[in-house]
Amino acid sequence: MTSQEGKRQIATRGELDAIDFAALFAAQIHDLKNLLFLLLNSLDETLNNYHASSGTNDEEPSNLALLKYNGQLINDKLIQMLSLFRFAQGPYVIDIAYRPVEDLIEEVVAEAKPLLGARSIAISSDVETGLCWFFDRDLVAGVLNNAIHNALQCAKSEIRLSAAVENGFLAIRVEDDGDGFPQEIMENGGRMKSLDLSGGKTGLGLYFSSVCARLHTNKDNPGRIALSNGSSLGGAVFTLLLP
Amino acid sequence: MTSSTGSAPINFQEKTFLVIDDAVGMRSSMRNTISTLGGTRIDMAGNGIEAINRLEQRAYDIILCDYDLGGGKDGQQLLEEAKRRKLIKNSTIFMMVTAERSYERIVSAAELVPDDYLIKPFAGEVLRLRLERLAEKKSYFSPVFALMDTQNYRRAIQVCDDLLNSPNQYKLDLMRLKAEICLLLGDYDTAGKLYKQILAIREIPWARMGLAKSMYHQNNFGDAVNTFKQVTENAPNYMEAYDWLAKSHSAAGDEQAAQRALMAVTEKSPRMLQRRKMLGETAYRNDDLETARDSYEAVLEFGKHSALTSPEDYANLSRVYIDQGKCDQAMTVLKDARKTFKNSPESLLHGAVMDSLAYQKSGNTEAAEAALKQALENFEACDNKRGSVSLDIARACFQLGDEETGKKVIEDFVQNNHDDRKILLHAEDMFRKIGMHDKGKEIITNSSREVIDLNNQAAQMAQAGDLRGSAELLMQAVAKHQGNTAMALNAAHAILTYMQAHGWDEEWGKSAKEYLTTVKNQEPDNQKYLMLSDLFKETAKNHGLQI
Repeated sequence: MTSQEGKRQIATRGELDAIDFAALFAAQIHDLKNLLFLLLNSLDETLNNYHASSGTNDEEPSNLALLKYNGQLINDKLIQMLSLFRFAQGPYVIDIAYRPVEDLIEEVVAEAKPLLGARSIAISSDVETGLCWFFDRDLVAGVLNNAIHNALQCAKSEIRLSAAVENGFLAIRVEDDGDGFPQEIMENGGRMKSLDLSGGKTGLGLYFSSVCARLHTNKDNPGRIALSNGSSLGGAVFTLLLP
Repeated sequence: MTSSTGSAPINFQEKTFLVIDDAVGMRSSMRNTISTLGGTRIDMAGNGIEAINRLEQRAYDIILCDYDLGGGKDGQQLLEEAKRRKLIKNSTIFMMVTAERSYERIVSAAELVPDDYLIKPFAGEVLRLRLERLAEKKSYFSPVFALMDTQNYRRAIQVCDDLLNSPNQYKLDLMRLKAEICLLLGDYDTAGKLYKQILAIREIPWARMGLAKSMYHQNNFGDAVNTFKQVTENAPNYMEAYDWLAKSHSAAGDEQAAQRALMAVTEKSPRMLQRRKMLGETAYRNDDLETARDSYEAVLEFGKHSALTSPEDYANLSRVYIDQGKCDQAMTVLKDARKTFKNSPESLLHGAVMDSLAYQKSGNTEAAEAALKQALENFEACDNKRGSVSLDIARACFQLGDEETGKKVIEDFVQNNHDDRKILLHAEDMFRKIGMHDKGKEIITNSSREVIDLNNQAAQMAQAGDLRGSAELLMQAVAKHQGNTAMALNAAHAILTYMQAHGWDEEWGKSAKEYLTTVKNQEPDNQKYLMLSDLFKETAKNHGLQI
């Protein structure tokens, strides 16, 4: 401990000032994501061993599913921070391609599946076969993962994903059967001013989502997010609208 | 819940995998993920060199490569080398793995791209879905790629059209592929229209880029400049756009603007050798010797550990030093060249002629003459007289008073490259630099006149309906100007046009094939060659020949 303190004294303010903290944090997040990958993979391995030894394909033990869920949440946050950092550094060019919406939803659902067991929540999706749209796959997947993880915290038993074309926009919805968004989030969610760093929740996820939506602008039509209550399941509805 | 898109499940047990990652933990983790999918035949590589060794030994079905490979090559460079050396089959799935999505910003604008990329952390299930879709996409496009591999471009376009007739999720990919083939075949008008169609739906950098290329090829340099500029503004990381912007400026006669565009791109991607070379050339022509020297030095520095430099790169740097009056430094560079290339004939040739120029500059005429004599001997024995060495030899001859030899070298050089505007400008520039601009221009014009007249005469005969006479004239011309690729291509074209109308001729068919092979050996990517190779196959097939 003494050597730690010694180091602290040697590190003068001047030395610390010389560090480009923005770049340092970005590089560290990069490393953290690598570590998280290893962590989640060993978790998968453990689960496989568990299945192998128990000889069944049953639901995994809920504490392992919870570990995985929390790992995913950490990953969400890292993605959001790193992306916002890159946006801010600009110029940021997104990789818009014409892709099947169904593939995207299928992947997002596949990512979410292992997390549902812990809370006995079902997930379903409804996408027209053959529906293709212009979007940046990873940004949109980041937005949807975030919405699903939010929904997981509130849902009682069910989450539903759907995608359809409405008025020239691709509308992707994440609905749950929870209690719905609180009034305050319905009003300010996704806006800069909703970023309240003093409270426990930062609102970063919704802010990140609205920035990603806006990056999908086509011929002066910006993308956006919409929050509402009273879904077909009775709870909150998160909608991503892409031109 | 909807059913899946219908991608066929892959039997991963049958597939061979190569995992490339510099971290041991990451490799074993990947192995674990693959084995959950059922894969068992998994090889590992810890760096680029190991990966290339593996690829040389066997063909893999699926390659998972981490972008960040520690020191040395990164995943993108590895992919490019493997593709250029054809170590990866068309059917191989190459997936880049990265911890960060900023990789795609590099890759979305790169010329050679992986089939897909995956961001860590990812679930094994997502890897499975991606691989299944990629396999499906590969098999969907495989008929087109097979035809392209055998240079049946027209047939490939027909297959694209057939596929475009039925609605499918690959519509945009198909349009893009078709437009690219049209660019290859020289059908710039159709390519331009396709890109405009795509742009009407959505502003996409590669489509804007393609449109600009079609403008460039139709000699519409003003519009090309503006359109390439638009790409660089909307997609600042689209490196290739800067190269083309420079090319267009240059073609429009604005060398200063060309240099600025190249400087902008080398700042963004300082390691690209080809760009550094272009910048060096342009700066040298603009008499900006400082920039030229920096660029050529960078080429040698970055190229040290790759096989991508040639003796000519050393000659380029020494030329700048000579012009700056730093003859000792020039000689040191040449010594390095001979050492690096172990006294290869090419390095001895470049070395001798540049030595001669350096001695001449420092006033040692005797040594300069001896070096030039050596250089001319080497030059005579050299089959490949492409590139700047002819100009350096001619320059040495003129400066040492041997006008006759100098003129002869330039004549050959110009006649073999009469339709290459850039090369003719380089020649003109050499004369300007040694204070012989007007006289040099006259020599260039006179040398190219004969070849141009021949070509024009052949074109007129063909237009008047004398296809046979036109072809015969060009075949004679090829015999006279053996190193002239444009002439060989024109002759092959004339022969094929004649045979299309009047039937196959055994002897002429052989000649056409021979001309095409000669060009292929020198410039395998020559666009007109690719187009004619396709025409050759088509013509042969129409006359019932199996080629």
